[in-house]
Amino acid sequence: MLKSCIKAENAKLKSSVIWILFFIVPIFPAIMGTFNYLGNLDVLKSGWYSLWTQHTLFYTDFFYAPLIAAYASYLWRMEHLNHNWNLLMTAPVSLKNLILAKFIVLFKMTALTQVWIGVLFFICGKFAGLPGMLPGKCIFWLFRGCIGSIGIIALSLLLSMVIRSFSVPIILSLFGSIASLGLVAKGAGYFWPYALMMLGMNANSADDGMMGHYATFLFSVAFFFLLFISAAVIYLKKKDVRSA
Amino acid sequence: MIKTFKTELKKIKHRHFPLLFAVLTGFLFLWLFATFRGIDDAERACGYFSVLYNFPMINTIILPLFIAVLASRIWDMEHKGNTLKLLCTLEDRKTIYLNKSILGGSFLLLFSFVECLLILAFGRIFGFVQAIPTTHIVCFFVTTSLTSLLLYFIQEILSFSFDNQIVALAVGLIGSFVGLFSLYLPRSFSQFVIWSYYSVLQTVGMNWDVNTRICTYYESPLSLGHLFVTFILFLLAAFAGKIIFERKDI
Repeated sequence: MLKSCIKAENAKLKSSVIWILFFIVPIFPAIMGTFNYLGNLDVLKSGWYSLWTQHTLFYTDFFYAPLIAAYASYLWRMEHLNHNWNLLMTAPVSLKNLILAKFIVLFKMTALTQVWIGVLFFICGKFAGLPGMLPGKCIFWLFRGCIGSIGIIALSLLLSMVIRSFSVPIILSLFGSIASLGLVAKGAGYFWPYALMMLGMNANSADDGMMGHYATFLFSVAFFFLLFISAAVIYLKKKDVRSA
Repeated sequence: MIKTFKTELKKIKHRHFPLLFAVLTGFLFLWLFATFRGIDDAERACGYFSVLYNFPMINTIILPLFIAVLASRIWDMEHKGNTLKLLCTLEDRKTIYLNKSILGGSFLLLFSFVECLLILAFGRIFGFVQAIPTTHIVCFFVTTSLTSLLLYFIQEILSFSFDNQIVALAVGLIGSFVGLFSLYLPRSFSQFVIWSYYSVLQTVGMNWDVNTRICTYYESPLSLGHLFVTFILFLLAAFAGKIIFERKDI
């Protein structure tokens, strides 16, 4: 049943304008990060790792969470329009599967975004004249960013489901991202879902700052995933839908 | 006109607009509060300049996306309810556009005013010993309002032109990003990025001494050329929005 739900969610994204956002948004930090790197070669001397700091600077701090929130809002917008809530709630599938299907599709989009960021990083590295291939560490940080985004995806799904506006969850996620800057600086990043992705991607740092904290990181990801997905399922069970 | 504007006000009832602004203001307050917590006497001596330097940067990050959200919420209700057709048979198109522009514009002017009040409030809370720089605060109000209104008119065009609000939100999101990044690039580049005009038009600059790690603030004259360009773009965007909406196929 879950598979059918995923198929349905995938169909909603086919030929969707959301893919334009998916392609365009990561291009800006890539271009600007590269030019910033080339303009500061006298200070940035660690090659690929220095380029990484410039690519992830701002992008993970401010804009990755709103991008995920935009994906989530887009996915829920269909249900908020044209009385689709009635159709969704009367479909012969469990609420858990409905939510999980949306989660899996969103996670797929986030993972693809990470791949796209990796491709852009490699192209920009070559453009900047960096030797060799992409360092394995950077690929690992991209993967870890995917894991870190799980909490944001779950929270965005919940917010976009409860808040019928398309845009409000996006600005809330920007606030969440900015708040995570302060929390990470205070060492409390593992308690805030928006900060996990930043920590996972080792944003704006050439040295791995997560050594010895993997268990905490994975526990936080699992905790936020279970918390927000359970909240979404319980909300749907208890509250009557507002169909319009 | 007043009657139709009242209708717009009724439409936003229970749509939590005041809450949205309260959240934004509260967020700005907390951000600056965290920045200024534990400042010393030397920083108190130039406290207002420090706030006036920080606010445009924060506005560059938050406001482009926030303005996209505002325009989207004001126009998306017509897309969702499919009410534009009905509305256009009851009201002149020019009036609809004007009402929605005044509504969004009023919110933004109010927000700029609240930011000015926040500057004064921070002076009180943290005991700034610097004299209140009235001219700079007035300049801040004018430049923030003008840039916000320009961006609002652009976002309005996108919000009423496309049923799917992802386009308008994407522009807001990219605008926030490009605006922020352009602040780290030379003025010759950032002057072409309208989302960065909160900072381009600021009247307080900062020097950062890497060795002593001390910031010093200085007054920089308001760039009248950029202010003029912003004003012209603001008029063009408002006029273009009116024409596009009047000719829009509904």
